[in-house]
Amino acid sequence: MSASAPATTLASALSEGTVSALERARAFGAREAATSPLFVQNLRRAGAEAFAKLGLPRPSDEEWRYTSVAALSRQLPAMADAGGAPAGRTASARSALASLGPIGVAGRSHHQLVFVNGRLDTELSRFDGLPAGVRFDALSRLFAAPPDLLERRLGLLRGHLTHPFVAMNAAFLLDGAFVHVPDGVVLAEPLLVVHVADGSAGPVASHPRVVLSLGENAQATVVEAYCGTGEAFVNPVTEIVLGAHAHLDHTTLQEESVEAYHVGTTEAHLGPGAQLFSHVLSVGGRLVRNELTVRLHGDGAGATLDGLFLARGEQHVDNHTLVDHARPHCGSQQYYKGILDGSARGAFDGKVIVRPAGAFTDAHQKNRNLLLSDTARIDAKPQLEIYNNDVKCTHGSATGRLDADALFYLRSRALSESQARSVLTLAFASEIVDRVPVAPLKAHLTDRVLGWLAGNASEAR
Amino acid sequence: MNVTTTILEIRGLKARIAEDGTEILKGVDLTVNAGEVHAIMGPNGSGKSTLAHVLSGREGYEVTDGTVLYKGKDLLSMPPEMRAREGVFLSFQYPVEIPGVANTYFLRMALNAVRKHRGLPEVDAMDFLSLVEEKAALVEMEDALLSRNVNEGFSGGEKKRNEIFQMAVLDPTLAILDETDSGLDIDALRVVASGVNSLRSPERAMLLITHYQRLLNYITPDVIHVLSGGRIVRSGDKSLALLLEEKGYGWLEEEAAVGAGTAS
Ligand SMILES: Nc1ncnc2c1ncn2[C@@H]1O[C@H](COP(=O)(O)OP(=O)(O)OP(=O)(O)O)[C@@H](O)[C@H]1O
Ligand SMILES: [Mg+2]
Repeated sequence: MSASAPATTLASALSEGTVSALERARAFGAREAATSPLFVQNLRRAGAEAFAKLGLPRPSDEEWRYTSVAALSRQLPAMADAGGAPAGRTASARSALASLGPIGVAGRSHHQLVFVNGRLDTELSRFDGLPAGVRFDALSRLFAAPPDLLERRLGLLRGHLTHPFVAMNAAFLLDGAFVHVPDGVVLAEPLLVVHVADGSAGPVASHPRVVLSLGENAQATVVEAYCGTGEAFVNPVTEIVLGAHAHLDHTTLQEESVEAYHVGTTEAHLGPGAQLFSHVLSVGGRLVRNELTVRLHGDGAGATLDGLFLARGEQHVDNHTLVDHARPHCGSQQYYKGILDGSARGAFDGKVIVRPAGAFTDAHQKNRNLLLSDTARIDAKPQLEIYNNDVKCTHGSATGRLDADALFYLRSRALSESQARSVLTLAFASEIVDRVPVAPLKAHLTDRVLGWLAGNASEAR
Repeated sequence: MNVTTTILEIRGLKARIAEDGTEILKGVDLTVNAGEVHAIMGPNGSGKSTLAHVLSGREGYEVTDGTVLYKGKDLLSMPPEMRAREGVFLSFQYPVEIPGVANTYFLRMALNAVRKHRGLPEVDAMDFLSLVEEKAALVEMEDALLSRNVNEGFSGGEKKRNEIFQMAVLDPTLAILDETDSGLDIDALRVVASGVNSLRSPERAMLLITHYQRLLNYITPDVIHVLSGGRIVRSGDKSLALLLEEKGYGWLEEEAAVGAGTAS
């Protein structure tokens, strides 16, 4: 061992991006301290310290084997902090929202929180008219007089101590959404949280935080939508805590610009009998990482995790899931589908752990991918780690192309080749799209897939 | 005024499997006029489906010689969808299952593609619905099958009905039916045959590929051809089918071999 080895390791750990991010995190924390409660200041400090230790993931990091953040790390120093970005970008936010079609701001009939570059836009948001006891508000508005529950929930899942991007999110915590549905309350109407990344006046980094909490037997549908223009780094963290027998339908729709870096981390804890239906849908972004951890910590909890990702050109989409069966009688179904064109790269890295206490687990994990070009690539790694014998677990992954016989069948019925490809690709996507609960969102997704396909066709021309 | 219009004119057609170069069609000649129904029979592997595929433009075959004129146009230079829009319809021997695509959704797209080609406006929802009802009744197809995904989980017979149903909706000029009778029970055979018969018209021509005389009891062909070893070795009227039923194909193959021997 040469004496210089530790120094080299340290130097690479504190790469340029890490060091500058750390300095900026400290400056940011100092600047925001005056308007933040102590527990938020503490969370920022803990995040900054953890990030200084962890650094950005390296290629040798097993959890990041399919995704390199080197390009992001080079860009980070040039990106303005969310807090420093000019406010009042309502006009460009409106046009970005319009791209969300029927689920965007158009009708303003929903309850929605809209954040532009990480900051609440009050003009575009609507909080009122929810049943008594329901909290649906922006963190920044709550910091002056934070509810106890927020203090208990924010950072509860402790990812900021172990996960570099969650640590960074904590260090730069500025704003985000707090949702709480009290015991027994059933919300019929979906809650919409929109994050607009507007890089039109230069690249911007934002670190939104979403805290979702459902009491016992509470039910809600929450859609997080990410859209925007230009170069941006969006590093959201969503923390979900479901009480006993609560039901949450949670959608993450990511359709930022192809210049955006998006690293999203969601962690959910489910109490006894709680049910989570998650939909992770990715269309935009240059580099996208969707990380979803579901901890089934109550007996009989269940999770259905759907995913659909579309990528083309040079896009890179990495879906990383972990389902932790820690208690008996829990169920989980994962179904992730990817559609890749051009030179896009995709990854599905999913793990199911069944702990010794996870008797009678019913866990299934399925991944299907469709490659539309010879140069697109997917890495798939479904994994099971089982420490209990009384379980039913399956997993599998398959990657293929459009079926030549089906293509010919459609063409022999007068459909053009591009029509036939669209029909079959949409059919592939529809299994996931059809299970999205909010009708306008479903319609929007169908349009998105069709528009995406049309875009591919014109790109290839 | 009894002008015969030729719908299909195949001359010296030779085709091989693109992948391995095996020659399957070794010089097929066939002329089908408007209003005629021709049956093509022949032993397994003799090239009947290959002929149907080459006519409808399926990939995987190479035409090495010969010509195919469809209504006077060079059929082989058209992509499959253009052939379909021009009025060629293939009823598949093995219809393809297409999960995630609803039968009527797909058929409406197909019909509109054909209509657009013919300079007609898109069919409106109500008209399409009544067209679908009318044609489904023709082949006694159940409503449930209409809204299901294309052929997905259909029984063999249901798939064949679906083919004839699609044919009825798309209203082709040349229908090529590849073993539409295989896998049908006796009642279904009667239904499908009467569906086909009702589509017989002076403007339309049909090629019926079949193994069984039984179908020809219901649909009387104008001409019967025997395809063997990649060539049409015998053509005749419907009595030929009875002869084949009785004697099989062996004698024809021998004759063909002898004929070929003397010719060279
Ligand atoms: N894609 C292919 N690759 C290799 N061989 C093929 C291919 N398609 C057809 N063949 C071969 O060509 C020959 C003719 O096949 P074809 O399907 O045309 O026969 P057929 O007359 O329709 O037979 P059947 O009565 O059994 O339906 C067969 O020997 C078959 O194996
Ligand atoms: Mg055949």
